[in-house]
Amino acid sequence: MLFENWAQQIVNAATIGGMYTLVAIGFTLFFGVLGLINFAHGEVFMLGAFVALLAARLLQNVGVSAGWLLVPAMFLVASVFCGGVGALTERLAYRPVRRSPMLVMLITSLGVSFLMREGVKEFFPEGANPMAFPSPYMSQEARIGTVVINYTQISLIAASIVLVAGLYVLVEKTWFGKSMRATAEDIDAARMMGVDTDGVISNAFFLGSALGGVAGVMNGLYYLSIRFDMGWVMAIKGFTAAVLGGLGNVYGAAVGGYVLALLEVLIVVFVPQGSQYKDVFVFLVLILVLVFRPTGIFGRKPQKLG
Amino acid sequence: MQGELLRIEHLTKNFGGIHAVNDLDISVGKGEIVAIIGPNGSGKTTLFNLIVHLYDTTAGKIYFGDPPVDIARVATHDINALGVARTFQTLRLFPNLTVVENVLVGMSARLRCGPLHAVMQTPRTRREEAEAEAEALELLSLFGHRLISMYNEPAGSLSYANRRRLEIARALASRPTLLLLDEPAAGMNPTETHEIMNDIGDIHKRGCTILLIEHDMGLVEGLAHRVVAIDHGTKIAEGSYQEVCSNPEVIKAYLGSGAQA
Amino acid sequence: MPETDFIDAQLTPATVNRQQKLRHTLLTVAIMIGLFALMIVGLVIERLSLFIAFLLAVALLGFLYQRTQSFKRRATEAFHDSRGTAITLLILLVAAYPIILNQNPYLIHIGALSAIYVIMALGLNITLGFAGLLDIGFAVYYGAGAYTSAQFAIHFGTSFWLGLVLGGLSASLFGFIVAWPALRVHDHYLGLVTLGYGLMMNLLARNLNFLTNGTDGVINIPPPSIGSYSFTQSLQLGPLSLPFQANFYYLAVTIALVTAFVSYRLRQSALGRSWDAIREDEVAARCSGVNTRGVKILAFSIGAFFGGIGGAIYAHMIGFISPENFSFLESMTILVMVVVGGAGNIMGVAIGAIILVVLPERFREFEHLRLLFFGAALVLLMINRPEGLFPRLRMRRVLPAEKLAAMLTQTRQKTASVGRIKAQ
Repeated sequence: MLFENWAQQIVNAATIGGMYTLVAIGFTLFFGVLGLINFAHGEVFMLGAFVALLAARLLQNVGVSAGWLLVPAMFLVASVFCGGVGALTERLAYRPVRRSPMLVMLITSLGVSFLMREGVKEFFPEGANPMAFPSPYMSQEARIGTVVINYTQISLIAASIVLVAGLYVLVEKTWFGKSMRATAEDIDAARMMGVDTDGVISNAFFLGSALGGVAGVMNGLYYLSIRFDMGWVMAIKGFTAAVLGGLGNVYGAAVGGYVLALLEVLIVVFVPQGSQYKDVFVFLVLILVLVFRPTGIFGRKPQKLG
Repeated sequence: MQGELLRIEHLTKNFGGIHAVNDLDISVGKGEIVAIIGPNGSGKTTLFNLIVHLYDTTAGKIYFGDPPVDIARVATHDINALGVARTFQTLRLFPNLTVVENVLVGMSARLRCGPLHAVMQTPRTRREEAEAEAEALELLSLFGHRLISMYNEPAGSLSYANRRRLEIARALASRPTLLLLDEPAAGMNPTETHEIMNDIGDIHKRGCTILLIEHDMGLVEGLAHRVVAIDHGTKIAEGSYQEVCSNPEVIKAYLGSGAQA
Repeated sequence: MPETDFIDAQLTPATVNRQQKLRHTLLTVAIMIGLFALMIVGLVIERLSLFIAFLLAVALLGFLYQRTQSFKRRATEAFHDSRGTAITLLILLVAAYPIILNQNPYLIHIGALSAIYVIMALGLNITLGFAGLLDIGFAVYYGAGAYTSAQFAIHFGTSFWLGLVLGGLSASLFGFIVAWPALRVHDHYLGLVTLGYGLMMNLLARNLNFLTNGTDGVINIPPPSIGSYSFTQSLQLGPLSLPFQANFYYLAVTIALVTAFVSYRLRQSALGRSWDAIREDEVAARCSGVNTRGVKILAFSIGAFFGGIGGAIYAHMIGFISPENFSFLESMTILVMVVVGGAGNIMGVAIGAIILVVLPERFREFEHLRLLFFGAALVLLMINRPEGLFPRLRMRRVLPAEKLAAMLTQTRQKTASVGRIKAQ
């Protein structure tokens, strides 16, 4: 394979990997603090895209169309809105069932995911159809040899890196990060130490969902179109990335996202009809990892039994 | 060795750098009651978990039975079928099943009739179930009227002491030759402790070899033929109750942890 | 001493005289016929607004029933006492349904469809309700049953009856296959593995044209027949001529009743206890001798088997199947049936299945809102009543009174003697 083709694919993988990473971080955060697999997170991703679309439309209606205003506005609106939705869902739907068996929580999150997806389908104007998404920088591109990389991709890759770096600072250096890690480790002990565990959990949901929303906007900017059902495929991929990196391990999620994107690219390039079976492949990876190495690439402490 | 029911050789278990059990050698003769003592966290429950293969061993062998078989790699439920039953330090009953059903689950390894028989209620199934129920009730009656009178109540509604007794009844349901009791008197008041001591004595007389983890020294003194002291996963003393409890190593291990009879 | 009082209370057996038995039987019969009539009324109402009023009335009744403890207790007692009558009456009412509605073939068809879903929901009930294994890819099994039976009938001319068995076994195989990876994972991971499995199988069904005819689906599936009597003929019952849908109705309902019976027997058995045990505490179960792997594999395979049976009946009733029929939506529908009806409760799950077939049919204009309602229903239910409409029953054993009395006297003596020793 020509170097240029490889380089092109790597650029694509880096862009998509960034999205997977952001969604994966959300999954891993929710699992870390609550032990919950939040099926609804994929729909939050979708909500981010739709709410950003609304914001863009509104701004365009009042005459704003400059890319450098529109795009940050979309990111801002999506992150705040999705963060809010995430925290709200936790408060209304997950907190009441926090002490219930895992099955109950899972089914609750399933229900929430339906509500979000079908809600958009029904109540967003023309929600059932794919919608065009504004992407002001798509046409501008840079060329390195035959490798084309457009400004959108550059900004997406940059944005993901910035966000992950910011997350690192948050988790390692701040009091909030420490409380989050404590809560994830042992929620009762953390509470007895004076950590406001309810607050930590709410914030974790806000954060994870906000990142998911940002990923949704990125997805829209990259593919130029969004659908009400774009969430669940991303959920599976994001979740697979989180599991690859080790559920609960935020850095693992970051790595897992890029690894998954790379694997996908390899499938598309090397397997005949690869792009058709790309998704099946991801399901397979998920099942294989869950069965053979549930602690992910990096592994975690084993569970105690007796 | 003659008359040996359980022999543990060089048993080691590491948890990512922590030596929970370290080169342990323990032997239990048929008909003995051996007590394992040691401060909290010394690896006693880990030892039990290794014997029933809830954990994989890092090294070492666990020989059970006559002729001895290495059960370190045998599946947990098969180990139960071979004749090893246990109770749990933290009490693990089936809280929503009735008292009788908890005991019946203990017979799972022995009940032969499969789903097809069950659906058709063949005479063999009906007989097996009736015998199982009779035996379960008999086991419950070992503890006087306390458990029998609650036979249809959910196990979770029992008092703490009764739940401990029920767990022992469930363990006995598998007709074990070796019974592993993990702190059977934990949380019991002196009367209950005395009763459970008598109950364990009765169980022993019925032909059960017993390996016992306990903190209550009165119970250990009253029941154990031999005592093994463990600290940080290593054996630090072995012998009669008097010998072990006057051993300076043992006293040192306990200083500061406050575990006293 | 309080404990002695308890024993004495148990020694006197419950008096069941003829009068009480008669009262119980009459109450049971009255309640069952009342509910049946209610159901018929609900089905026959034409106007949607009236139907909604009807639903509200039923909901109110249900709510009131939950509130009045005394009536609830009397009704439950009555049912338990007159179980034989209840079951006979159930069979009679179920058999009478098409006769009563013989002018309405559509409703008979709905009845048959409900029965098919009852079979499948009961299958999932075994996996999820009894063994506690979260399987959210259940559509794989009924797809397997449908396709196997259909393709064998079309390509090899096998009779429906053989196809039914083959469909069940093939579905069982698919359940067996997923059981192995499923053994190694727990709880939420298990849900994901089964979800992934369901999605993968659906995708494969769409693409492996040589097996499944891909997205075109399989058409012209022959209807069942007994000898020369084909199920497409109208059913003659003496002077009465029932529309042909009645054939499928009786077939499906018979199998549904058999499935319920098998479920009931399984729950009472040692296997059922093992399932209860692993659901409550898997580690303790293992240490008590339960072969958790074997027991889980059985749960998956047996549950899948019934899924396959339902699928096979569906295929030959509708005459046409495609991968669309076995999508994630279908898996979710069956899951909701079990969860709403009451996981682990056979009657609850059956009622859940019927409700979730009939309601979407009545509200066909709102088909596109179906998942929305499911979502809302699931969330509300999990927060307020996770055990479902009809919670799991606790198995109570009936010891003959004399035997219990004997045991209690015996053991009371023993306790007394221990007490004497202690006092010394």
